[in-house]
Amino acid sequence: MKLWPGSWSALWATLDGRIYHGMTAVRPWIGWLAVGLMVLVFALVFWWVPLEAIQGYPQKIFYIHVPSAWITYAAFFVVFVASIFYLWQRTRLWDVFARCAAEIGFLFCTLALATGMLWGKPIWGTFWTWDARLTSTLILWFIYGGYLLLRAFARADTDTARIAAIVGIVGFVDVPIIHMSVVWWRTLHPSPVVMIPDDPGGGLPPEMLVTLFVSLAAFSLVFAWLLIQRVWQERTAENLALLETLLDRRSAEARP
Amino acid sequence: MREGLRSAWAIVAKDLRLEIRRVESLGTMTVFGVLVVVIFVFAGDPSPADLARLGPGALWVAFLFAGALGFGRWFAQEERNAALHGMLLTPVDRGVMFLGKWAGASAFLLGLVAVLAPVALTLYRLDPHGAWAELALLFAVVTVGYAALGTFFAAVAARTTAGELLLPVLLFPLAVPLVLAGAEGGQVLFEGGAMAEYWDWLSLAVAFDVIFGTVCAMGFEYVIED
Amino acid sequence: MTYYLTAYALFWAALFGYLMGLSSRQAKLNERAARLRERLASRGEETT
Repeated sequence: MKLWPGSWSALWATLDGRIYHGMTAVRPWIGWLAVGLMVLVFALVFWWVPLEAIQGYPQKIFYIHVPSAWITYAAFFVVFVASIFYLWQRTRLWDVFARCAAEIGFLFCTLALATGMLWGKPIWGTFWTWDARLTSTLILWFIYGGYLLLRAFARADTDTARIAAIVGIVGFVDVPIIHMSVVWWRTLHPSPVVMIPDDPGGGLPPEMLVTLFVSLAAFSLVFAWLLIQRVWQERTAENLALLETLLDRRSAEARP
Repeated sequence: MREGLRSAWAIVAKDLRLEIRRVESLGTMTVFGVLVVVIFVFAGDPSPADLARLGPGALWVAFLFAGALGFGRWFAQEERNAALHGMLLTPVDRGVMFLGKWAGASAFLLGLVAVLAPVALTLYRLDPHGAWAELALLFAVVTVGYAALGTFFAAVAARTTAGELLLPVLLFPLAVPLVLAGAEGGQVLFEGGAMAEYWDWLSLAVAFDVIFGTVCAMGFEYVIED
Repeated sequence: MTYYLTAYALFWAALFGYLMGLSSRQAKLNERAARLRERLASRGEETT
């Protein structure tokens, strides 16, 4: 792409349209790849990956817990970027991206919390320890739940998209600060429960690493597919609503 | 620049004047806060040893709730009198408008903390071992940060149908670093721990104030443009 | 063992639930589109 004056602004102005068309084009590929990788992940987890010595079976939850958490952060990053672009370009598609990404991100956040709790119970004997990562994820859950509630309860006469966008931005700015302060809090006052290290790269055997990365890839594709599907659906819904309104207005005018 | 600051001051003065005419609101807010501080004892039922552990919890929860009550009212008041629309017609920079409201909110919350903190310190037998200035500084910084968030989200919540309920839902998760800084930093002073930790928490609170003061000031125009 | 299976079942339930939600929403959209098409068709007849 040659860079001459005007080309960058043209790019920014139509970026959402380009992304949308790109997305809808790759959708079937992503869908099938996601299905394939998911099947592979479950095969790997159930039959190939070795059983961890200390934790046993519950450790296998790791392979859906960590990717779920990763996807929620990715989703909320999408909300952040889409919100910025909405405030800049003011095209509806960016708002749709933000809304759908928040919805799917919230789903994965709930999953991350639930799997984290299901992992914790057999390992630590309790569903909840206030450890840094679970706590941060919980706060994130509330932030994005609040974001979705805001969209649901916005007054009809306000520009919901604009308000949601700025809240999405402010919320995301706080995420690293919250994470840092919670981690700090927990290093100064460690959890009362002795933690079994579960961070990847902390001496994980190669089979586990492979499974984890395959799982990450699978989850990313699932997220991408869900996002594309949902965005397409929302856009269709909005276009339909527009046509219906136009038609209503025309029929009202036609009846003298 | 001077024009902007003068406008900001005008807004602060207006808010303060309105509130001073209705002193009951700050008074009621404070009474509510003190009540929460007291009720915590019944809910927590701490032994004398645990009293000091419960104290900061009671203080900061009371502060958060009383503050949230206050924020909701300020904006409801503006919307009701259509005063906000009047202000929007003036060529005041929205960021400056935010600064004015932030300053007003800070003044009120500092007044609230000035009552709540001594009450909590007394009832929960908390002693900062002579580090009164440090304690006051930390509480002031946390208060100002909460004021920034609250002012911003009060404007946001005013544009929803469930405003009063939505405000805490949006506000509290984002205020967690402030609560941690206030509670943990205070705890260092009360237990006579290493001052380095106190300074760490204080710097977190200061950084928070700077970041969110800026972000909320810049974002305010997107909330109130109509 | 139970926790491990519950977690994976939960994942599938969530994914499936969301997909079912998507398809029911899609069905409603198709219905609306069909109705819209009918309205447009009937209007077409009136004008001609």
